[in-house]
Amino acid sequence: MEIRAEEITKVLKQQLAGFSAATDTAEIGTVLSVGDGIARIHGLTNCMAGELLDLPHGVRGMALNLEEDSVGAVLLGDYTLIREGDEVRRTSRIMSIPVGPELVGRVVNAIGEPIDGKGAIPTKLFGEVEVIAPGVVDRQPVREPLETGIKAIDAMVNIGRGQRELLIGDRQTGKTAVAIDTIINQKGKGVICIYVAIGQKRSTVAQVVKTLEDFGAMDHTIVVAATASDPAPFLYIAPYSGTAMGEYFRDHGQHALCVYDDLSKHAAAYREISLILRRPPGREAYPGDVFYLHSRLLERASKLSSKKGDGSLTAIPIIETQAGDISAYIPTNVISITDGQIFLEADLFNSGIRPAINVGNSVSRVGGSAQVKAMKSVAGRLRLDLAQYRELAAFAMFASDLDKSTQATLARGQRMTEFLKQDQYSPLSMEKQVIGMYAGINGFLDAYAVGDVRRYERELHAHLDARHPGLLKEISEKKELTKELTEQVKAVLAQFADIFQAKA
Amino acid sequence: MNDSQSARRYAHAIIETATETRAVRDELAAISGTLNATPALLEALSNPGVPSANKKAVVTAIFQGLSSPLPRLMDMLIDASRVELIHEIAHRYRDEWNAKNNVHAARVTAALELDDDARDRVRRAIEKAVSGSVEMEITTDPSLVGGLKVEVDGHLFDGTVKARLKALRQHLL
Repeated sequence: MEIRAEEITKVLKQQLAGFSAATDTAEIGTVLSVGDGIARIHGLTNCMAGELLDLPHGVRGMALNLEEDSVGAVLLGDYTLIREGDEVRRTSRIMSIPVGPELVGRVVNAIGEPIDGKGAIPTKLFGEVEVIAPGVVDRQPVREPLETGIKAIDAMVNIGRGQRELLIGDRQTGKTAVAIDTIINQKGKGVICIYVAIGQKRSTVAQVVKTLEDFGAMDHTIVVAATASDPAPFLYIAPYSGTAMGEYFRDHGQHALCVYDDLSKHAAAYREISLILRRPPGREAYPGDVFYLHSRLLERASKLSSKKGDGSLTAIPIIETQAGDISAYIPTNVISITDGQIFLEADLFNSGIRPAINVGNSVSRVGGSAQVKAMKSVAGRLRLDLAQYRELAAFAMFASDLDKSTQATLARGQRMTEFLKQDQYSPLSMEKQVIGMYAGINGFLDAYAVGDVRRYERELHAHLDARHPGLLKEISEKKELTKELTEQVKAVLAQFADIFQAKA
Repeated sequence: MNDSQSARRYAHAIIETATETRAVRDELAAISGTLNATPALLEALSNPGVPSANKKAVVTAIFQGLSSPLPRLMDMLIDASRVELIHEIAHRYRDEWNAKNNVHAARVTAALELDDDARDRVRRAIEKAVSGSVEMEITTDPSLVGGLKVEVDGHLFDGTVKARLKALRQHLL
């Protein structure tokens, strides 16, 4: 190929034709001191709270403290490059990050830059990191279910689209597993999931991404990772960035789910920043506004009104407790902000009840209004059966001879507890859950030993898939157990009882 | 109370008591400059081992003919062992005096040495922009290639060739 000098000149001329160099004007200040990811800046008289600042070497800052003669800013980027006396420019923009559907399937850092090695993300829009949550008029009550695919949750502590449900428990109790299962179960349900990893090991985040890829869940998921090696400011803004990405979908009439894993580390990162900015420490050395830190984040989860397009943003914050202490500062705060909580207990986990959900202490304040009718009709009985079982189980430990009805309640409870166990990465569809629960509460399981319950369920599902796909389809479409359908379910279960017995 | 706050209060008090505020401003700048240039003097004045009377005698001997209330200010600072605050006070006083008299401090950086005519034109242009009088501090920096950079009241006006080349590079790449 021949390259001619005139051609190059021509192209350059074309390029330059569109260039006009106006005098560069900016409001500037100078760096007084830097350290621990924080800079104090002199000048910038008109700086706004939360404004994005431009520093040399591509480092950016976010103004957090506006004082009489200086501005305290957290630095996003390599703060070791910044020197005293460096020039700081205002951008007149509130801190914002790229948002849009282009982000789906990607792994990004707290400021929306890709970190998965798949190249630049061609986003067109920016979303502000700190936004005031939608007002009262713009909302409507939560009414659609967000199916987690986990029997114990969907039946008894169901989550609605637009709700905020806390996942709380000690380390190693399966908090992340529940969240990941929920994300996996959103496949094909039109819910965009955002998994925000705050202060986790990079290896853990890589593992989560790998799992999501293996189950084909990355196609509807954005992972926002602020890992343990990132400076505290990244950990601080990561959940807000994730929410801003979710808000894009919510505001466009779609549904989004944000998982914050976990907010205890977020609070710790904010404490670090606040102490370096010399804000007065309060209880457990957290600053006074640590409640507002989380409440303004979780308030952004919402179900928008029909006028606003019916979109929703569901929040599943995760809190790690120390030795089951839920009365510590951050857990009590977040419990009071959210619309319910799912307690995961180490004791249950170790005794083989997985997911280790403490059904008695877990609640969802949204309740049945966000359940489909079919689920509501079976879940009520299930809850009752289990409550009676728990009440009797403690007494029955010491009793030798029990009357018939007590024995029946205990037997039912044991089978239902066994039934609620579920393997990881195997979320179930609503219709299968409903049929299984119907079998349980109507005594179809009572004839078998507790050890056979899970095999019964497995084989029942296989049987339904093979022989009665029409019934499953009808339940999933009608979302209701009509009289007719109930009869059909009953007939199928009776029929299956013969097959199962024959095998056993 | 931190240093910048106390300095601001001193500066405010001086501006309220002084009659010759312009002279006080220049004298404060001179004191601050002298102390900056001779660290040994500042060290002697901040040394707690030296008796206050000696320090005051030294100060009166060096800085003669100060306008009121500067002699008293120096005595006070020596008694309070805060002589090093004088830099900050001078700085604050200048800011406050400038604000009061509509004087704007401008830092002009040029690629070449400016002649008197050019200086005058730059001054008039800035004065028009800020609608007040201007105190210019002019430096030269050949790396700018051409044009002017003006910093006034926290605003930067960068019309240098260097900045334009940078913008051009961003435009092309």
